[in-house]
Amino acid sequence: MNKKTVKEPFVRIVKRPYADLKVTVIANAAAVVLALLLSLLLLMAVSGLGPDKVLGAFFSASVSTGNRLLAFLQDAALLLLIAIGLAPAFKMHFWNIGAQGQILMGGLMTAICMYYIKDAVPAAVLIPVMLISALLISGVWCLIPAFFKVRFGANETLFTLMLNYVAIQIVMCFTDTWKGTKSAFGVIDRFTGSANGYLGRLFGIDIGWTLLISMLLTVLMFIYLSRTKHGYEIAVVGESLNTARYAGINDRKVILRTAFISGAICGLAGFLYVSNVSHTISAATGGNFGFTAIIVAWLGAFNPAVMTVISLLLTFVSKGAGDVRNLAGLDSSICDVVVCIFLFFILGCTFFTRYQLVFRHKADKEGGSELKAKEAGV
Amino acid sequence: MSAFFGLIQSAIVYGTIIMFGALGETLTEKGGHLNLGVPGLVVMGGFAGFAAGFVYEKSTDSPSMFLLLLFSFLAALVFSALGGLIYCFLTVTLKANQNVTGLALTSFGVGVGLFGGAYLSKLYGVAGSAKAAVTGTLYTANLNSVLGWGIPGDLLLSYGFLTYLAVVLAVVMHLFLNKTRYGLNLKAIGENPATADAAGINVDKYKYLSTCIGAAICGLSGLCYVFQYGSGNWSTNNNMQALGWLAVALVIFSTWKPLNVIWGSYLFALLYWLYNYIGTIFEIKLTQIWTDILQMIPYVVTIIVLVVASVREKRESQPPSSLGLSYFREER
Repeated sequence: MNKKTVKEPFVRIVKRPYADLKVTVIANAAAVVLALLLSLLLLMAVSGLGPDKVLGAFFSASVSTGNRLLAFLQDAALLLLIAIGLAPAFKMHFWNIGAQGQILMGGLMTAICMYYIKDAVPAAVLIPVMLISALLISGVWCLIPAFFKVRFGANETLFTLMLNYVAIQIVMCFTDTWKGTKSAFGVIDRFTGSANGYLGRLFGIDIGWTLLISMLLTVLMFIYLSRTKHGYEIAVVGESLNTARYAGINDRKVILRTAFISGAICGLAGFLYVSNVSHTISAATGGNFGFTAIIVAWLGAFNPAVMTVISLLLTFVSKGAGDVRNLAGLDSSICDVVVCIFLFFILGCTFFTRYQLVFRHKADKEGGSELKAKEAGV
Repeated sequence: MSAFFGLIQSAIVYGTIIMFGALGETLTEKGGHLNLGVPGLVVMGGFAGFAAGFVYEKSTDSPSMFLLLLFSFLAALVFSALGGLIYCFLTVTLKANQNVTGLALTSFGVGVGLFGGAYLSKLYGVAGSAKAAVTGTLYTANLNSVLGWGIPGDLLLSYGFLTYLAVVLAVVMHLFLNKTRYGLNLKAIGENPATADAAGINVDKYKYLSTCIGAAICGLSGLCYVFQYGSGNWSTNNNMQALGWLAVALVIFSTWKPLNVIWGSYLFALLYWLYNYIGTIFEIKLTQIWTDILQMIPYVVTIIVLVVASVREKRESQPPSSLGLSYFREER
């Protein structure tokens, strides 16, 4: 028998068998509070403004007037919609980081329809044509990497990423042609003088359709992922490919189908950008949302309800930082920095919801006898 | 002919920027970590190097050349390594998802860099974009202006020292990964961390070091962009970010081999600049659409390489097996 006893490590990491709701809530709340403190300190430091002004601007940026509330809801709705599109793909462990490209392709297809055929057909025909062509092209844009993944095992993370840049160049081909010698391609409306092809106001709000579609899709995705056979198949394929095959699930079909749906929903966001929100297309349409939505989907654990909360939070933070920077005349990139501080903290806190820290004295009390029994057995 | 030489020169200057990023990412990926934060790290490194040079130039009338070089070089290395440390702490210690953390690091780094650059301009009351001109001359100083060897000199010696440093670094990394015990240990971790752990290798230590050093090397990429390509001008366009993504693409293109990174980065840069020179070389007038299409080529080539590499299924050209997966010792 070896007399030298190995001291137990001061702290051990143990995987939680299941998520503890109380721990999850506390960890996330703590992360948000810490991130908020750090962000506010950073904003105060760079703006040189007092805490009262920074706090006032930060918290009133999204809600102080009706227009600001709408701008806040518009961003949150678009971010959420893209995240909703990414959720099924990520749940299946298909890393679609090409949302930006899919948004652009959908938006471009919408713009192409508006530019070339908007005067030839009535709105009742034009809008469905725009919508369907946008969904199709974006679905296919995501289907291409999915095909190469199931057929040859090509890495979809990098494939979808590269397709973003291809999409950017394709959009530039069209916008450069359309703008001609002008410095930028303006609002599509301006070229023909008719507003045919725009989604009109809904509930008296310009962006009513965007809000409605985003909310609708969130509910539908919740049902799709948690209450349908397709959703179950996605979950099994994501957990283990071999289990899926053993259970008789056609994994290739599931991957292709889900990738198409994922791309199509991102295309829907692109459609809304062009026909309802910005009324134009450029390589910058969608901005950073394609990437931020990836993080929203992941942090929300593919649960549309949680994703809604996260999109609202991140948009609120971004708008708040935006107002502080307006007040102090700073560069707009501070908003991205502040949003990222929140992302880092929330990402970090997932550790505490997935793992448990077991300290030495606690292990002695609770699991000590069990451990000793194990050691004796060896 | 001169247009052709111009293309080669542009490709070598730009290729160096991509090469540093790709070398840093290769080292990181060999340890099993897919760091999509490269564009962020590039911008962070470029900003830190620029800020160090700019502030020191502003603070004294006769800046010491040695200190300028030291400050800007170290600032780029350290600041990017700190970015790598955030990524590392989240993915290695807290086992957060690597793709998501990397993307967050990209938008964080780009945000910090762009904001910092604008903030410096505001702080020192510079109208437009700030410039660290003296530091720029340091990084663009070359042997050809002294020796004057004509065309061979233009092609081979007309670059700042970072160009040669990048090539040396690639060779050193090749030797490190294939000929030293530490390099082999690192590759073992990237392939199968559990086996490496069982063999007594300190997995976390290796991962931290490879990721942070890799991040620091990515920072040199930004330094090169700001000083060697931009001669000390701080620019706020998206070029640096796009080059960072090209660096990520190049790692795949090179099939994770540092020596391939050398010619790969020049090839990528050549394809990138083709649009600017092809008209003059072939004496044709290109429309804007063709320029847009030509700029697509590096990305399309990467996709083709990605697919071809996975179709061929050659074991030597596959990514490290555990790439992108967090390692938790007690998981089976």
